[in-house]
Amino acid sequence: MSPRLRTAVFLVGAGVLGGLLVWAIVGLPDFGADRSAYAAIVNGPVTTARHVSSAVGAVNFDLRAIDTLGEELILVAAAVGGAVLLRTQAEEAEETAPDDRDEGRHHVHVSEAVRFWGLALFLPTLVFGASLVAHGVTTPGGGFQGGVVLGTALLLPYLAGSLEAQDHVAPAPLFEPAEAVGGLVYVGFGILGLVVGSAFLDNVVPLGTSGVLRSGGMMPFLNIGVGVEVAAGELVLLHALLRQAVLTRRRTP
Amino acid sequence: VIEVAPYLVAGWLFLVGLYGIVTSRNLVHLTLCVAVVQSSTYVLLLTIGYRTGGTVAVFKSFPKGVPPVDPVVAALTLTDIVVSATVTALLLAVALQAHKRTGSLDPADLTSLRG
Repeated sequence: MSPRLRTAVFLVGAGVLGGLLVWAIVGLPDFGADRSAYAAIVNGPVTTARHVSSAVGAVNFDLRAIDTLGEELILVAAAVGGAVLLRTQAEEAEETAPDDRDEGRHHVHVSEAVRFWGLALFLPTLVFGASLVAHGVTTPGGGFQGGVVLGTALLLPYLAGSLEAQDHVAPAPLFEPAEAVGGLVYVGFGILGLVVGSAFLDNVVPLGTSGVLRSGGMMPFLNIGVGVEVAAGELVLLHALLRQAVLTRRRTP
Repeated sequence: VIEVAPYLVAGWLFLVGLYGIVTSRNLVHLTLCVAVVQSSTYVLLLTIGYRTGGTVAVFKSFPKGVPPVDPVVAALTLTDIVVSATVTALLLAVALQAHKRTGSLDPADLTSLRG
């Protein structure tokens, strides 16, 4: 199919779909109308009963905790898939001493400013990420958001120096075990519910006082599991991509 | 118009992203177009959850009495973003391998299956 024909077919279909969408949209409740009884229940009785002050956290790590487990498994699958796709192929070799002056590579000059700020921001970013993970039940933070920041912090040594510096700070062989540990923490707290005679992922840990760090029962622990998992998953994927750019070479015949 | 404007924005993002996917000549560009399509779902979900004058559904630092927005769709949006990030990462990995195999990022050059 020629590009022009394909675009024409698309425009016809998009026109029909767009018309149907507009038709559907004018029949929807107005923007800002308060229609969800479920929202009122979650914001009121549920957050009160679970001693948390972030309703989003209560949904993700209590009401829909089993969905969040599925979400974690999506991350694992993506990280494994990325690592498999980017493995060293039969016709490729990996350099032991990366040299960016090879043919076909342009040598990247890291400026002093990037070096300085990459190192200067390493610890603050790490602490910020840990804080986001820890405050999942009291603020809009949580394991997912904090995990991304943690992963970013651990990639700063690459930005400021080299892949070897990165490997020194956060050794690549630890990423996948760390991801497994994150998942294990989550599943472990899920099984705890079964052990004490309740349901899988039931919130059986003492709930604590609403508004403080240790509140919401097992939710802070689930957040930590997710945080480790997300940070490790991010590192697995980005490290696989970085290896492709820095280390992998086509084997010369 | 404001009653339906955010829904229309979501519909527009969906269609414009789809147009990008159909006409794309570069796999990286195509991946970003997929991300645009996915972002239409964030707009749609958050639109459904919003209520006029509402605040974020986190109660520690906000005055009581102000109605919070729907936390269920906010949580779904979070799930959505995670899925979007993983899809983007995998598509970029596939694009990278396709470029290594064929020397091209143009989907039009990737017509035949190879083992």
